[in-house]
Amino acid sequence: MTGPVRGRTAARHWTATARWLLLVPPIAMAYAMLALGTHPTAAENPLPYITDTLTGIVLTVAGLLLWSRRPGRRTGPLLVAAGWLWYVGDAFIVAPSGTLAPYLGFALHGFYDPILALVVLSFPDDRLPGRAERWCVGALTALTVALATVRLFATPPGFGPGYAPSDPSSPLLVIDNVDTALGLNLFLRFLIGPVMFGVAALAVRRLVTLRPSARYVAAPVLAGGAAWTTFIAFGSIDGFLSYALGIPILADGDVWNSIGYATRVLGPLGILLGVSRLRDRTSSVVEIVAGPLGAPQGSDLEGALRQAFDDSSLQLAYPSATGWAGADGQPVDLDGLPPSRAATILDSGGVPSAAIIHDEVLLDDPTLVRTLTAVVRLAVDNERLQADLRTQLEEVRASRARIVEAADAERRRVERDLHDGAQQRLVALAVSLRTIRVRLGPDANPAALAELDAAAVEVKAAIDELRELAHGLDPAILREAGLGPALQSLADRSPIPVRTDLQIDGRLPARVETTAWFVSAEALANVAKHAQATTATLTARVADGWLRLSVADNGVGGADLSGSGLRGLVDRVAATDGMLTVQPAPGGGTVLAVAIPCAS
Amino acid sequence: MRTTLLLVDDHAGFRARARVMLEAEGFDVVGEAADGRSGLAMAERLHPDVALVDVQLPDISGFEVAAGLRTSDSARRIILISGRDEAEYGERAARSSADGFIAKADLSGDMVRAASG
Repeated sequence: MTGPVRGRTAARHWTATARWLLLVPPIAMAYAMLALGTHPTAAENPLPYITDTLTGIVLTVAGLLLWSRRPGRRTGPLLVAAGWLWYVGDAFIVAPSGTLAPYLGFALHGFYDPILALVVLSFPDDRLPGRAERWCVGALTALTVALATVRLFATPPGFGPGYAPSDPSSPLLVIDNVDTALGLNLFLRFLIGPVMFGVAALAVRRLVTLRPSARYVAAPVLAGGAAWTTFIAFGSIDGFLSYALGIPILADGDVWNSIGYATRVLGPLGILLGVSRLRDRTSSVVEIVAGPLGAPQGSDLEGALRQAFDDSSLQLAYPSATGWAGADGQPVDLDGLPPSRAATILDSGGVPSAAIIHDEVLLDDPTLVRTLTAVVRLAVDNERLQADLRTQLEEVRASRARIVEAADAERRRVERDLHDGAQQRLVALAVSLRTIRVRLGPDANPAALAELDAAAVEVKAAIDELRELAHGLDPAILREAGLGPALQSLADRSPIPVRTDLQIDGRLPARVETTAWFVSAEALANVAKHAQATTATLTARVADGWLRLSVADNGVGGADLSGSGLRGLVDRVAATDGMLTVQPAPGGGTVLAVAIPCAS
Repeated sequence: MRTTLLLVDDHAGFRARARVMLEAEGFDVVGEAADGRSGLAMAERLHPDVALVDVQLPDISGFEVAAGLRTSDSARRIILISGRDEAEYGERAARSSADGFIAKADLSGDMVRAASG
């Protein structure tokens, strides 16, 4: 699995990197134009000339950014094409005069207008929102095709690539009547003006009605696009009126030049700014599932997806007893969604597992929908697996508690059997021996009396040993008097002196008391057997719903949790959801500490 | 006159041997009971000088029997006995209504006399 995925990712990475080579021709062309300086406007208006020359590079960069952040969409490559087309109109600078190349470039150059309109009006969803937008782009495309045809076949002097009356005619010239050619040219340019105004108006309308969440990204593009198309529109109309009718509507003064210059600079920069604000949604989605906290779940996942997909109303729904329910548990009616919303249903083995309710615009981008469903499926699967894991852990925990409980019950049973069986028989035997001793009287055979006394001592020792054994299995004092007295009794029975500090009021849950007692008993036994300690301290206190207990000694230290005895204690404490630690004591020796939740 | 004694213990074997031993040591075992409530009823009827009561009984505990005997004043002296040692019952044995505690393994006429004062 890993190999091919890594391979595809690497290939995609290299393709994306190699795509930036598309910047080379615009840069080379801009360099040529600036270095040669033979363009007619280069000397007249150097600054606008420089910025205009760089515009194609700006558009290409914006296109490449758009391409990488919205792979599979048409606007990225189209914007790159617009960046290239920006320069083909100036091919006459480098192409041999009198050939077809300058005219071909000049004809194609105009196509950046419809591309620009398409990119601006469909940003950022790559979809023209209405009929007016589609009509404008269509009309602009048709007019550009017509204008390109005129530029190739009916170029009047002064309207060719170099804008100079002395330019050679197009090699494809068909209509050599200057008036006709001029009229066609100016008329088409005049018609482009109102359409461009329409584009500007539609951009402004979209700007005003933008969703707040989309404004940050789309506003610079729409504002820049509106300003730029307005400028082009004025230029087209002004050109027609001033050339054809001799009535310039725009003063050829500084103000107009400044406004024109500003829009020519701000337009492309606005587009670049807006595009650069577009998040890479695939990356955002990858961040969601591969973030430091893992894939979010429930409402967190919903929030993360809303952010990643710029859709504040995106909602997740899951199958419920009555149909579908949101992450908040509220019912969701997938059949009653408004037309602007769409539901994508995920299934697992043919059974619906989740539904994503999103802006229906997303459906235009199959890649994005696939990404979205993959992320949600991953998160839902992850959530299900985590739930399974939690259930299994809970089962293991409960099973461990049951095992400890069963072991305790068995221990109690054995203690009872010892107490009621063997111990009672031995006690009865001791009493019988005592009776025999009394009945024999003081004058009996001394050897027989001595033997009888020895037997009585043996029986008493056996009873004591049995009692100690039974006590270790299930101390009656723990059952009768609780943990505090039981721990005190433990300390009193220890072969080495044990100082106690016990702050336990009342009784604790039986499981807690038994665990704490066994841990203390085992720890004190270990201290006596292995620690070479001269003293030990047993502390226990209950606070904030926790029993905290410790056994410290002044021995040689070196105890660790890997030993089977301590390992068993760790398991036993864990069965009560508690913790056990063993650490070296500050002045030497060992501290065994236990914390057990004991809130009832 | 021999000291009268009531034995309350659920182990019949122990009772039988204890009766023999205590009678050999000069006590008059006037009754035996196998549980706490029977012991209380028997004491009401017999008013023994000493009641030897096992701590662990099948119905009520020896502590409760001792408290009942004390309340009804039906036994002059009350002594708890157990197969376990006194320390295992902690302060509860000390705070009980009994006059003394004897581990069963240590039971003897002298111990009963000492405990019953």
